[in-house]
Formats: sequence, structure tokens, C-alpha cells
Amino acid sequence: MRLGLGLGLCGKRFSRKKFDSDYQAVLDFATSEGDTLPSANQQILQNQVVLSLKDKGLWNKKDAFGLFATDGNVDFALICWKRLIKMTAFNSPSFTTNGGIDGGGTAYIDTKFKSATDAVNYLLNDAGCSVNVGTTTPSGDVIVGNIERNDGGIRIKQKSNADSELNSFSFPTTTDYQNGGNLHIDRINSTQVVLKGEDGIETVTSNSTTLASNPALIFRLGGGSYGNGNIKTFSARSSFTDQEKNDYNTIINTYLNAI
Amino acid sequence: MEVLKANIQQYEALQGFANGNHIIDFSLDADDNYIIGKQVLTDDNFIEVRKSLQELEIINYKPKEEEI
Repeated sequence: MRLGLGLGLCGKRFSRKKFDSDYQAVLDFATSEGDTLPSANQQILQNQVVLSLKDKGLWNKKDAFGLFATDGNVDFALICWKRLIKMTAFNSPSFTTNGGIDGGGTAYIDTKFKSATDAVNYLLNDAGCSVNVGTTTPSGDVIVGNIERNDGGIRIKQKSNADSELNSFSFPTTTDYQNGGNLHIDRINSTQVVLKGEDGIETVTSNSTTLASNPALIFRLGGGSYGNGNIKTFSARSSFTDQEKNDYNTIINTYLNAI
Repeated sequence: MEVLKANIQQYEALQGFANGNHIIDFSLDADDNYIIGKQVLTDDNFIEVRKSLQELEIINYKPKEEEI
């Protein structure tokens, strides 16, 4: 009798510790929304993403984090894991199980992240954004933008001779991000922005101006520029060091290679 | 690329239609037509207004000139 009770309590204790509390909160939020959860195996992998980000000190640098590559449904994919809100899908971006979300036509995603009002870690002179994207054609264009150009937003283009912006007016870049993978843009001080893709790193002089009062949009810039690319992750955060970007790449690539 | 064009009545009826966190949002092309991508036609989130979406005119997309 005593032995039986002991085993039972032991089992309950293990079940409570199954997932990190922040990942469990994502699952609980999704359940409350009626979303289709990822498979049991993928939940273990996603929990490991959170644990690894915490282990490297990256989780607490983020203000927004979306993991679009999942075998949950599109509504699960649209959850911001840091804010526990749903991003909004406009005009039917295409979702593929484990493949992330594709733009095309006039489709875009509103991340609901307004740096002027929502940011805690993302600051005027210490800010960054990371995305994981697929390869694209030279005509592939906007990955992240804002409805207002040159209004202090985030701008990442996957394009030759692109322009970019981060808390500033736009500036030209030579980084084209055509190889896809993990792309980072970081404002490391009031005058410098670092762009890092899978095939290089570039430091650009750009004076910070303001934070954005409009939300960061995926696959849309201004009134009429849309992207045709593919996105698997999005995060807005404080700036990363180069080592932190490498750590982040390893965590995300480990997950993507496992699904 | 082909897109769907709405007249003013169609635009007013469909603009902002929402099913949860899935929303219809027309934009303006180079000729100031209200346009939207064709993928909305097969999105089950918009099945309630699919018939109205199917009545939109198919035109070739003329993007607005890109600003910097």
C-alpha cells in the first residue's frame, strides 16, 4: 500500500516537470484558443528550443518570437511565444506543415510588435531582429517591413542591392541574403547596424532616429511592396553579439533539421 | 501575376472581413484599383465570403512604383 502511493506521487511530480514553464504557457495558450497543437515529438523539440535559448541567455533578450515551422496548424504557428498573442494573417499567406509560411500576392503577417510601445529589450540603440527564411529568386523581396517607410521600423529584404532600416531611415546594403537561412540585423549603437546572413557580415553606418509606432510586418513594406519568400522564424530583441548569433543559428538549425 | 480587383461596393463589403486572426485587407495597385491576391479564393478561413470573392475581377497586377 505505501509503495503504491509513493510511486503514484513520484509519477505526478515528473509529469508536472515535463516542459519548461514558458513553453508550457505556449501550449496552454494554444489550447485555450482551440489551436491544433504540434505532435508530441515536436513538442519535445520545441521545448528544447526554449531551454537552449535560455541556456545561452537569448530568451530574455527577446520581445517577440514566432516559430512558423511546425506540425501544429497555422493558428499555432502564428503564436508569439514571448507575448502569448496571435499574430494576424492578412490575405491568406500559405502555410506548409513544418515548412513555415510563404508570402505571395498581397499576403502578409502583422507581428503586432510596435517597438515604440511594445519593446522592453528592443531599444533605440540596442536592437535586433532575426528571421529564418528559405532561398528565393532575385525578385524575392520584402521579408520584414512596416506600413510606413523610414519611420524607424525594421526592414529586411532578400534582394540584390537591397535597402534596409532599423530604427532609422533606410540605407543601402550589399548583403542580399539570397542563400536564405538565419538572417540577422542588429543596431549595436546610435550609428552602426550589422547585417549578418549565412554568407557574410556587413557593418553599415546609419544614425538611429526613432522607434516605430506601427507594427513590424512580414512580407510587406509600405503601401504596396510585398514579399514572395518563405519564413520559418521571427524574433525582435536586443542586439546579439556575433557569438550569440552563432548560438541562435545552432539552436534554430538543430530544430529545423529535426522536424 | 494575376490578382483580384474589387469595385467600390465589393471593397466596402469585403474590406476588413475577419475570421479570428485571418483578415482581408485590400491594397491599391498602380492604377489605384483595390486589389487582393488570388490565394484568398481557396482559404477556408474566408469560406463565409468565398462567393463574393469569386465575383471579383481577375486582372494583371501592376505594383505601385517602389519608394525608398
